[in-house]
Amino acid sequence: MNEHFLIISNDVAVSLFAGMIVIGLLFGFIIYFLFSYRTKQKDYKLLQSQKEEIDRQKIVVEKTLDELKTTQTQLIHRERMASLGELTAGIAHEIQNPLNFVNNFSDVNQEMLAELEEELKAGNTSEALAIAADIKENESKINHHGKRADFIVKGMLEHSRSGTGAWQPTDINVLTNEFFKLSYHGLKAKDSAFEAELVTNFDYNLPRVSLAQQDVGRALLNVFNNAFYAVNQKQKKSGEGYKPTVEVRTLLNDGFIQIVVTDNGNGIPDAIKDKIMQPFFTTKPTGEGTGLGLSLSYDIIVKGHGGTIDVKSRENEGAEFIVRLPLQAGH
Amino acid sequence: MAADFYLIFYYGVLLTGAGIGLFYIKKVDTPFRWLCMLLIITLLSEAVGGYLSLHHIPNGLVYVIFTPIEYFMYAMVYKLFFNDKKWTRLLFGSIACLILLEMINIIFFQQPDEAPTNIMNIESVLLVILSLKLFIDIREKPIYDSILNEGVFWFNSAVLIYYAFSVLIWGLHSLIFRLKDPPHIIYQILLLFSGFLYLAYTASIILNRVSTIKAANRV
Repeated sequence: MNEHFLIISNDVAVSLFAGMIVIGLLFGFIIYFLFSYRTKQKDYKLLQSQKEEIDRQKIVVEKTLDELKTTQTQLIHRERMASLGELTAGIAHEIQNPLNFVNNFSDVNQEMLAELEEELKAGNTSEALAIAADIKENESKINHHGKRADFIVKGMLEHSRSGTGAWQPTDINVLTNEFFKLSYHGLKAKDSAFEAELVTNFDYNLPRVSLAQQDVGRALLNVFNNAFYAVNQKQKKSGEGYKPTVEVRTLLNDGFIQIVVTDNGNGIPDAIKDKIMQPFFTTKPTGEGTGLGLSLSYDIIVKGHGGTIDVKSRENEGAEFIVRLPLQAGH
Repeated sequence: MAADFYLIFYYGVLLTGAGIGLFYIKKVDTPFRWLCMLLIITLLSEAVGGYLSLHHIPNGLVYVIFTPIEYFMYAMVYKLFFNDKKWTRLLFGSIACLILLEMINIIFFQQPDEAPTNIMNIESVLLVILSLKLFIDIREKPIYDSILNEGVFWFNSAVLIYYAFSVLIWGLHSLIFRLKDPPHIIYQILLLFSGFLYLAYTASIILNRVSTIKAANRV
């Protein structure tokens, strides 16, 4: 019995001793914890102060970004107004034509009304009816040209408006032709010596496609403006032997409508080919270009309509811009 | 006489701790409210256990009931300190397991009128793990300016030391009780450690109260 008691007693003693060692180790752990806590705390405080600094900088960056967005919006608006300024001369020219028609037919109608009165007084009914028919026809022409002027003015107003234009089924040929002429007359108004041959080669079987008419018009206008600017610059340098030509053609290719604008200007040097779609990139002298034209065109065609703009160019021989618009443009 | 000193020390500290807990229960942070409740309930269980013992009635059932309640309260304290969904699930899972194990223990190993030393041992192991986890958490995110002035440090240190010791004591319990004359020093050490545990809890409640007053003044 005594032997048994001794064995157990020794076990207890050994276990208690081991237990005390464990407790000693735990005290050691707590002391280690206290020291490591202080070290860690220093790192943590440094990290916190860095985090606070980052947060502060984040606020500054966000504010700057907001300001940049505001500036971008203002710049885009300014670019629109600038292009509207460039358009003014073209628009004036375009409006002048229908106005001439309106004025001329109005004058003719006045004369015919006088004749009508005379015929009616003379009792010549058949002649009066013939004159009345002519007046009616003239009236419909006045109406037609009045509507055309109205369309141009509305387009101009739409062009100056902020935001994306309404999407509607559009005849690409009509739109392209409209802005092609506006662009040409715009440049011609600024530089009366400028003459260029305008070549149109439209595929009249193109389907109507839904797009933001004024936005795409604006994009095309920038492409046309560049083409006319390029041929004008070359004309100034080359003199008599050079015949500035800008051609626009439309075609349907693989589910896309293509608008191909070709000029025989100076072309685009390879070194800058990749940069021409970047915002604020321009080769024009200071004050002549904002550098946003093609960038905006890119945004409208690629981002806005899911299309593409490709450029082919040979230096001193000319450039070709290929605008591709999908038949099913999403928005 | 020496035995009386240990008992007086133990009950004195527990009574003081429960009194302070009762006084500060609404004035301290939520984890420490649970700690106040734990001190009060411990005092109640010890009072009932002591009363039954004085009248020579087996008091094991008091500890059968008290052990899961005590662990639940510790789990709530740690849940609030961890503030982590995964650990909340683990803690509630461990409570359920402990209750289940206690049932198995009563059916197969220890009668309800015996102190559930097996369960107390498991509880101690769990609390040592939780305590180590909290130390790691505090070290990973050292938000306290002076850790020695924080109630959480003293509470957690006390849990780690006491329950590591408790694992040893309850682990050896069956071995010790096979002795004809169990060494009295074991009970005295246990009372001393328990007294220091409740002393540390009381200190941590007071320290937390001081922290909350300082924080309120800063605001």
